[in-house]
Amino acid sequence: MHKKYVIAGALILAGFQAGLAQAADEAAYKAACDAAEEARKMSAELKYEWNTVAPLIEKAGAAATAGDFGKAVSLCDEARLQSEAAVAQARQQADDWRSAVVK
Amino acid sequence: MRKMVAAFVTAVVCTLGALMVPAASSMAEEAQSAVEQGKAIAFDRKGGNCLACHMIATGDLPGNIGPPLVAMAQRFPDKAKLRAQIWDATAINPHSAMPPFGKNRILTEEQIDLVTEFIYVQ
Amino acid sequence: MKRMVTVFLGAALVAGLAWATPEDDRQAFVEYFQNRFPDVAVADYINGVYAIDPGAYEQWVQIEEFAPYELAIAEGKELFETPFANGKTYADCFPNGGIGIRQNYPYFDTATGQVKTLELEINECREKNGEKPLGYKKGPIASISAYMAFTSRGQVLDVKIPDDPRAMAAYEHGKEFYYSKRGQLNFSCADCHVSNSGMMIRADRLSPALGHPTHFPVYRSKWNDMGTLHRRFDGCNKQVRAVPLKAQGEEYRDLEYFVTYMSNGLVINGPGARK
Ligand code: HEC
Ligand code: HEC
Repeated sequence: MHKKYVIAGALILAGFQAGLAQAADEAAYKAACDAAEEARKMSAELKYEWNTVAPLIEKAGAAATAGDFGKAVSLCDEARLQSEAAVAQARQQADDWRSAVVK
Repeated sequence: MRKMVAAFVTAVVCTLGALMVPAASSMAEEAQSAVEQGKAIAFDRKGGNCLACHMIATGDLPGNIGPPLVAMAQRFPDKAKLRAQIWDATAINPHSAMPPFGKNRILTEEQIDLVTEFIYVQ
Repeated sequence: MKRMVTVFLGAALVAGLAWATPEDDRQAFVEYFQNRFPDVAVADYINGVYAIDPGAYEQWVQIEEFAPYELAIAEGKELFETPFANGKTYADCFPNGGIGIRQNYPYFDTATGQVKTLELEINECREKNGEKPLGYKKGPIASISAYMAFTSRGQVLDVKIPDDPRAMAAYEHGKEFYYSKRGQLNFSCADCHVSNSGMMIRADRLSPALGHPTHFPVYRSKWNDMGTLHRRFDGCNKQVRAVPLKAQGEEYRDLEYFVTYMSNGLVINGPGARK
């Protein structure tokens, strides 16, 4: 008798925790992908977007749909880092291009 | 109670077992030397694609935008300098035509380690 | 007075050092390639990579004999001469009825403050006459452009930069684009077509930038199709892993303005054929 309650309790707890974990994962995915999208937009505004970025964000969306939020977060982190590198490239080239001109 | 413990132990063993299977196959991969793996990455058109610009022994159809990669251990006795050239050639020459493989995240840090091992023995 | 003249001259000198005129740029550009390929006559740069690669030249002459762009010229002529629904034709939109004018494009339009390319004006002509605009990279627009280039063969490229700060800004903007590295692979157009022109990237020899625009639109074997200059820009941006910009958007039009100005003095030989 007692045993049954213990098992039922444990199962409920486990289910609850899994739900919490899922919500936390989903929030992490949203945050990571929003940040990636914002960085991508900034590089696009500078006309410096890399064509590797949108496919990463797309793959992240597919991973999240399949419930793999961990994978989705790392894909969006990569997309953000690449977009930040593209923005840095735009800023650097704004200074550097002149010295490359044929004289 | 004893049955529950037994079930728990079984579960743990199963989980560990599941973890061990991929570990075993990746050990097999590791048996392939770092140099071999580095070569595969360096020659892969979607990876390093170093042959687009460099002559490297045993590589087909090399380009000639960069110098032939030969006698590297003599030219780069310091392996860290070799790695730095691959990680970001533009740090040394801002107008370099060589893509900054690390800085622009074209290759991962581990891939760059492996490519460095391969180039070092050229 | 004397002091003012000195100050003025000083300012002019400083300005001159900071801002090379387009003509200074062009001369330096031509000289660069003359030094790089001393055996190649300047007039031959209209032949692209074949001007610097005698082996490939022979093959190319054979391709040109079959003129794979011939169908496009015929289609273009037909489209060009067929009246719109309102009875007007393309000839009504262009100087000299649109014949033999390719060499004057792109030009800076002081009325709108924009660089106008031939393809842009083909579509403006259509819209003015109540027709839908065409896609800019291939298809009918490439055929019409091919026909118009064909009627201009042998004319000398004569792109003008009027005395207007907006024209100069458009030129500088195109120049900045040409020399700026972009994409994950971090290449500028000049990295491939100036400082490494003649070199091999894998099995492809890189063509010199001088003469690039004279033979467009082009029939490219790899496309098995005709393409406009902006289709080529699109491809060259993608291969360095950059998101290409809009065909006939401001960036590519300014880029075309700079690139074509560099080839002033060469003759139009479009449409052309390339590997
Ligand atoms: C687009 C052309 C290009 C590609 C692709 C390229 N390189 Fe280079 N590389 C160069 C150029 C040009 C240099 C000459 C130095 C400079 O400009 O940075 C160079 C220099 C080097 C050097 C220094 C050689 C010396 O003797 O000083 C090493 C090492 C090197 N590259 C390794 C690599 C590796 C490894 C890869 C592939 C992961 C690679 N490169 C891909 C163009 C390229
Ligand atoms: C990574 C090297 C690379 C870069 C960077 C590059 N191109 Fe190219 N481009 C090529 C190759 C390869 C070809 C085909 C062979 C040839 O004609 O050079 C080509 C062809 C062309 C052609 C056609 C030449 C002809 O004769 O038909 C034009 C025009 C051109 N590129 C313009 C540009 C412009 C403008 C940029 C900058 C937006 C650019 N390219 C950047 C490699 C490059």
